[in-house]
Amino acid sequence: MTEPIATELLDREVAVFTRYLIGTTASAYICACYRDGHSTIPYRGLGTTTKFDPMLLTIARTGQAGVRLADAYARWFLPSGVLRQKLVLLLAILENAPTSSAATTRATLGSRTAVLAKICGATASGVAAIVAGLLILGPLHLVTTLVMPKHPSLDTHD
Amino acid sequence: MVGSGASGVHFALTALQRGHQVLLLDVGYERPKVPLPDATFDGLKSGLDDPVRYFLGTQWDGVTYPKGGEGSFYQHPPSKSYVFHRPATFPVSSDAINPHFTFARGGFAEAWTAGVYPFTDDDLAAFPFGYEELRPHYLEVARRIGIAAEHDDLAQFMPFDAEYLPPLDLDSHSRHLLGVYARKRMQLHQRLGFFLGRSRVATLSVAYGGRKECSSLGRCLWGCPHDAIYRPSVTLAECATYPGFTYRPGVMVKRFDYDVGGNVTGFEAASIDGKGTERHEADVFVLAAGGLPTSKIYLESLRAKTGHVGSLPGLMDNRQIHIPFLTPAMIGRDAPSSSYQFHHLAFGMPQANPAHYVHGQITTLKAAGIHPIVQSIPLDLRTSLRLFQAFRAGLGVANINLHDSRRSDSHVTLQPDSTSGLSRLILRYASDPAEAHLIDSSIATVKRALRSMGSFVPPGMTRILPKGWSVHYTGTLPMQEAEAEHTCRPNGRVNGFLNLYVADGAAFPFLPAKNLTFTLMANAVRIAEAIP
Ligand SMILES: Cc1cc2nc3c(=O)[nH]c(=O)nc-3n(C[C@H](O)[C@H](O)[C@H](O)COP(=O)(O)OP(=O)(O)OC[C@H]3O[C@@H](n4cnc5c(N)ncnc54)[C@H](O)[C@@H]3O)c2cc1C
Ligand code: SF4
Repeated sequence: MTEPIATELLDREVAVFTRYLIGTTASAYICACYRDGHSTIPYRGLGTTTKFDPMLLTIARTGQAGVRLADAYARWFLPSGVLRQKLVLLLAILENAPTSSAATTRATLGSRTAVLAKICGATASGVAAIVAGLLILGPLHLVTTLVMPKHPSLDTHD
Repeated sequence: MVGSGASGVHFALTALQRGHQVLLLDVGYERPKVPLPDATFDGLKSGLDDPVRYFLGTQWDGVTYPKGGEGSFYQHPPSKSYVFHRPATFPVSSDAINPHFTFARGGFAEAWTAGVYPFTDDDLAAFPFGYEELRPHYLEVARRIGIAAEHDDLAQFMPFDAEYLPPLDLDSHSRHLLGVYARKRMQLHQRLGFFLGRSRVATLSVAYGGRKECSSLGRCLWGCPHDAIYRPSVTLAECATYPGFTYRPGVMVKRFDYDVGGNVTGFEAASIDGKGTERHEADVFVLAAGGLPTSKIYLESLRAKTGHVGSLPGLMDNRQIHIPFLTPAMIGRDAPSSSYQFHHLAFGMPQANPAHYVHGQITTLKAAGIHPIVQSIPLDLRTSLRLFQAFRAGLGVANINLHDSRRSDSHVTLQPDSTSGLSRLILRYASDPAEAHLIDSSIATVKRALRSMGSFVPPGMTRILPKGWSVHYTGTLPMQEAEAEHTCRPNGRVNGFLNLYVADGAAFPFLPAKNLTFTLMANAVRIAEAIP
């Protein structure tokens, strides 16, 4: 179980992360589900929080570019950290909520060549996001780990 | 008798048909009401007031969080949590095996994927009877439950003489794979020893026995609202039509009492709401509580009588391996979620020792919780989602099953706790050293076969699942010709007891790779036929 955090912060997260994942605004139902589900995220239980988690989350909340960068970096270097767990929770909600389910789960239709081209484009941009994340966030992660005495409480910073 | 699972209900029905009176004791947690029975998988999302809580659970236990590459790609949905609920009064510890338990009305097969494959004489080599003796009972079970199947290349590894229903409609990915296989089958047989065919499934392709046929709602994993997928509760309901049948749910059988002559005199059961105990007397006592609970009742009874804590060697469970794959030829096509969700295809790989036949099933992705799969792609979640959507119609998982054999270092025992009065069930499992080679060779063969059929196996995504996952717990009170302590006679009667029978997997002396439940049911019928 995690400690309660400010509703505004959660609403900011759900808005930014929903647009990031499926390109639409989050409905009131999705926001309510996220707020409720968030209290059950088990990241403390998995022992995966680090000094860098709150900083990554702050960057992710800034907007589309921030969350993409932070997520791409986290997938490799903090794969079960706080940000990934929040994003996975939201993805689980989006795939089941009536307004977002189709956008989340549908197959991409089209000629094989067209879809393969989309796959190549998406993979290239995904790899670029990892490289950018590594260049920008890698040094920050290193410094945070080495310099900061103890990671701040997630109550106030997540 | 104890237990309303697949074994128990078929034992009970045969005993009733033969004119016996049956009292069935069961914990028996019930399936919750199924919402919107005519809605499709997608229809549930738009039709339910709170679809997120339905699919993810009110406790959010349906969310699969990242765990660093371990575990399976799916977990049991919240709507099936009643099947896997274990009361606190049944404590368990285990070593090198991760067991599941059920105390549901209908047992594990309320949540199964309904693959039914008869054993051959090779599979039954360690049993004190062969296929011919089981055959009429397979036929009877097939008649009771309805099995959709087709005669194909797998018929040489599993007899095809029951009255089967026509096969289910194939989804487009499975049809594609079968089409490629048809063109390459000689090469796959000769070079790889790989044989593909249709799954034999206890799912109705046509209306049968008062149940509706599969109408492609795509809700199989969450629970078919029309019982097109067989579940033991269907047979339990049939038992209830016999005047000689009494069903007593809400009780946990602790042990049986017996006299010095080996005559069992009663079952002692505790109410699961903690409101006391009750004793039930009968002429014949039958354990069908599932391999592990049956072992516990047996050990507890001996301990109560002798003060000695025994140990039952020979615990078995099939090893399962999941190999996700992608079929590029399917890219760009639709993958409708209104489709039968479970496996349509099965495969077999014969080995030098015929009893070590490797069995598997192929499930293509249709309706499913997608977040466990998307998060496993090694890119940011947005890109992973786009890739998943592009690959979606071509995704599938090959699920390999390996045989297991009885060994003395895999056993079940008890740890009594004088303070609580509850005995803890202790399981210790040690893998067969020879298994590692079979795991490697089976994975290699399936990957090569998939590649030959034009599918791509992404590196690093194969999962060798921990023991316990397959839920095929067997071998602790094996049937055999020789009389020995902690074994059963070929008719299921426990050695040393005059009127105690085991009618579930505890009595299996060997565990072939093929899913065992068809044989559990047929064997339960066989034992019930022979009860005096
Ligand atoms: C997800 C999943 C998929 C599966 N797919 C397949 C498949 O495709 N093919 C296949 O062959 N098999 C499959 N299986 C396995 C199959 O479901 C089991 O082999 C089968 O259900 C076992 O039946 P059983 O009656 O022997 O025992 P169980 O199902 O374990 O039933 C035990 C019964 O005993 C009762 N009970 C237990 N202890 C006590 C007690 N002390 N007192 C009173 N009552 C008690 C329980 O309430 C229950 O009713 C699957 C299992 C799962 C979980
Ligand atoms: S697709 Fe599954 S849930 Fe739907 S009717 Fe067929 S068996 Fe039942």
